[in-house]
Amino acid sequence: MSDRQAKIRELARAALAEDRVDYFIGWKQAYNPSEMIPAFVRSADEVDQLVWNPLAHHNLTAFLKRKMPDPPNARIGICVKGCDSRTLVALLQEELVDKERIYVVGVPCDGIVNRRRIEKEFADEVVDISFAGDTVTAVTRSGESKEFAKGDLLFDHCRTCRYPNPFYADDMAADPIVEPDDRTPMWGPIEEFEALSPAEKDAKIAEAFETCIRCFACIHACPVCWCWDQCVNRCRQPALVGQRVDTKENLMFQMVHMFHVAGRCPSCGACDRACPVEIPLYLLHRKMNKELYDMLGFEPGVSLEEKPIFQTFDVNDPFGEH
Amino acid sequence: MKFLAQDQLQAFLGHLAGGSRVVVPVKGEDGVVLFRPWSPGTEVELDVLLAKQSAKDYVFRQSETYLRYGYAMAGEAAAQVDDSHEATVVSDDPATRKAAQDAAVTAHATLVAEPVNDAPDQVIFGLRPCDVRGFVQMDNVFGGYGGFYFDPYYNAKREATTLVAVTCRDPRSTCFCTTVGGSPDGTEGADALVTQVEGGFTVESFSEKGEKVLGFTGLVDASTDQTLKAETVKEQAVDRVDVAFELEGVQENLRANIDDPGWHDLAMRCISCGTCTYVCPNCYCFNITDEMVEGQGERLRTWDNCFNPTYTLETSGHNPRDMKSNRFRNRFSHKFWYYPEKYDSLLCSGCGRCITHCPTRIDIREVLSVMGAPRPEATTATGEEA
Amino acid sequence: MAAEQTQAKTRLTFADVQAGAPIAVAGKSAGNPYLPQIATVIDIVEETPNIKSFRVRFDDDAVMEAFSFEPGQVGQLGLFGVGESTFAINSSTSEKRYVQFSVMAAGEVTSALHELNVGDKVGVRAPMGCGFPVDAWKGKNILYIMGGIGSAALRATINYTLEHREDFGDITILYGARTPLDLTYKYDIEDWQVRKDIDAVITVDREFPGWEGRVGFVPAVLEEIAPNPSNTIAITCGPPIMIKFVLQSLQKMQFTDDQTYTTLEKRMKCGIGICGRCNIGPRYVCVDGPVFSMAELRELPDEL
Repeated sequence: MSDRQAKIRELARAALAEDRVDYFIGWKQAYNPSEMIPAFVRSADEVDQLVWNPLAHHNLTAFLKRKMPDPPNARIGICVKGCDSRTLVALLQEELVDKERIYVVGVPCDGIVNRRRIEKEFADEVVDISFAGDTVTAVTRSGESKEFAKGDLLFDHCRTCRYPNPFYADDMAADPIVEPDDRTPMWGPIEEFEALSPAEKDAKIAEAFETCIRCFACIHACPVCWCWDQCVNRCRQPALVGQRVDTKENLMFQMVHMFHVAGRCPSCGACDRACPVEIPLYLLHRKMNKELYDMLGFEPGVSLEEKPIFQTFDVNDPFGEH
Repeated sequence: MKFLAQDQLQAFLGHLAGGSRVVVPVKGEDGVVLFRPWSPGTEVELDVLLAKQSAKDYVFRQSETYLRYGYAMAGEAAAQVDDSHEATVVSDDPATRKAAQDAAVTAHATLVAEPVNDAPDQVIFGLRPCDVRGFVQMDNVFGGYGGFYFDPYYNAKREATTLVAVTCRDPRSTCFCTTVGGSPDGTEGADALVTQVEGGFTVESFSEKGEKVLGFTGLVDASTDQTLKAETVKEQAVDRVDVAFELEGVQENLRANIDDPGWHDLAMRCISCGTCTYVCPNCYCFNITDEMVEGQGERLRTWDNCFNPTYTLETSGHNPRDMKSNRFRNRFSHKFWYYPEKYDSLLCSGCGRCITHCPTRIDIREVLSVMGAPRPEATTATGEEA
Repeated sequence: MAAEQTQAKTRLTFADVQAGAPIAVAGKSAGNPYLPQIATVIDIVEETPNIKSFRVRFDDDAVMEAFSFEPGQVGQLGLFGVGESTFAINSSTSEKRYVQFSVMAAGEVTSALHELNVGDKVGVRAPMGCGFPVDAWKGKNILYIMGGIGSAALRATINYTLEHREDFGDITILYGARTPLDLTYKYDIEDWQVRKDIDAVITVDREFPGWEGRVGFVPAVLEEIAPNPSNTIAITCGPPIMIKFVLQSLQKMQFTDDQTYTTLEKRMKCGIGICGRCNIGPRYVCVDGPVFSMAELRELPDEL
């Protein structure tokens, strides 16, 4: 793990020192060691703030979206994990990001720890999380400490991940890690959901979306939600989504997002992790992934050469039945 | 000072619920704590320090219909809609013109528009002193402070609300209430304050509404020991809150640093969502929209936020705060410069929710330590880009 | 409002308001500044291909009778079911029969307003904001510099100074539009051109078939006519790019920041200084503006 961190720093230092990028985006520790945040490094002598550990959940590709770079034409160095790279590939397929302006460091990933799972184990604030092999140790502000097995804390999509290595990178922070031979997707909770009756499904959805506060964190954190700054969800002409915050409108809001990123979204879970009220948005997108896979055998962002699924037409594509 | 035994809490809430809705922090199945209406048996979550959101929504609703209207044809006029005035109204003859205009006022569909202002009595129990101060700070904005407009919608709910705060036993590292003039046992704006001690709570009241809360017969006089213990809890809590930044001079420095490139650096990891403002107990900006179906409609106000990229977007396409860094600067400047200039206090009570709920953990303490302090000369050179 | 601000430095309750505490009220809205007064469109003037003026009369005669405003103040004109937008009140302050707003069809509300017919109902919240300090300008020369629909924001003020002609020195009106078709208030222009007691300079951006008047952008024409800054107040309104260059020209001609005024537009919602949308730094365009002197603007962040 620390090898990857050292290599990230080394690659970032070189890119900045040689003036190949204006800034380099990686991860760093937040106000305490239990939290990781995106790091924006502007000079070679600041690269030592860059950190790699299983808390590095942010999909930094979001910072390549229109209107995110500052200045707008900045040359950007960026770290991507396997799933992050799929969102980057999706953007590159549609030529939404200029390959010439970015320098991509690929980081093979062993899975990211869901900090919220740890948080829920304590009433007090978690202020330190450290890693030793497969053991995760969390310490609260009042000094209470607990150990966890890393495997128990991983995000669902990390547990079922079949693409831990980046699909696209200019340089790698480590040699690719061994990937599973069987690439058949595992849908887990989606299949459970599909087994429910319509009424049960409705109830589950209503429960999930009731607490949405429409803060747009999901949309803005989403790396493939390209028109985030002019979102139709905020538009009055047409007024697809009303301003009233209730379960129905909240669901509509998320449906609009889901359909707009379908074909680009590999369900990296960035929306889910950004959600302040912890709505399992990831499942919504995962469901769409399953539909695309079952219907068209398509997986988003796995090949730079492939055309986006909704920009191609094949007379053999099934419609409305599968 | 009164004492409420732990096993009397439900009865106490039941007493409060006698005349009002009672709202308490509740932990959901997913472990998320939110303010929810209480019903008998609902467990109150006081161990988790802060609910995900403040209780703001119960007074300043995230979405609220404030006007209902409907178009209808005027009684008799409906039978004989007379459009002839459309031809005559542009007549050069003043008398003809006046008559035609008079006809126009009554001839067409009539419109009925009625304000809607539901404000049931409610008690919010278990909010923290910082959340209470959030209301106090919003009160100025909606309460006509300085001769500005008085908002009947907010104030109707505000006046119908009793706030029973709970002392923070275990402030978090992200709490900074004492930096901005508050305290984990602060009573500003609170009608009553409960403090968790062994076996229950001490209860103090500070207003008429608070006295009503004390009307519960299950309350007993607190013993000297309980009173002392409550004092200890409070003192320890105060010790646990760190001083986050130097408040003195922040307003002046923000003004001086308005064009400082440091804003760009701090805003880099901002994704420009509205989480910080929606979890904030003080942020109050809103939007107004109309929703109408078949001639019957509602005008509603909904929370909006200055990070929304379309917030200031004008029809022409011009956007005064087009850059993420401009919007970023606006929020912090509003809290510590714009608001203080109008309302003589701060628009931040130091709860730290914006820090812990921000998807990228933007830290208001860091922002104010940097931009609320004098900046090195070199970086304030005009026209210099970061 | 300035006077009231120094009086009531406390937060009020319903009891205070009922007891008559000084607060701002938008029109006669029964203590509810969000509540529009229902009014009827009694006349529509097609000013240009995309600008219409709406003359509206409050359905409640008492409201109409009591209505008064200061030149430069604005109002919210709204359609129930669509929404409200802010427009300058551009009828004369002496006009008691109706209130006039000019609307350029552009967005959701303005396009819907353009569909209105005489007799249709609208909602009006007015007056709002601060007008021009016309009393302080007595005895001074007045220079109006306007472009396109910017004339709407200054029309009430122009009419006020013309109706109180003897209170002011020289009055100059420089007005430009893209084409002659885009000139608003052509009936006013005709009046200005025959009056001997004012100078009216009308210009269009480029040559146009049938146009025999002046051609040139407003800032350039301004420098050509070279007004004397001595004892003169310059008031400008127009598209942001025009305002920018006009301000530069005025500065070049030695107009000081205290002599230069503009009136701003911003996206607004509540119009009463609460919703937090139209601020430029600590100033809200809806209650502190829309009128600002250049001196005031210099204090604010560059978020115009």
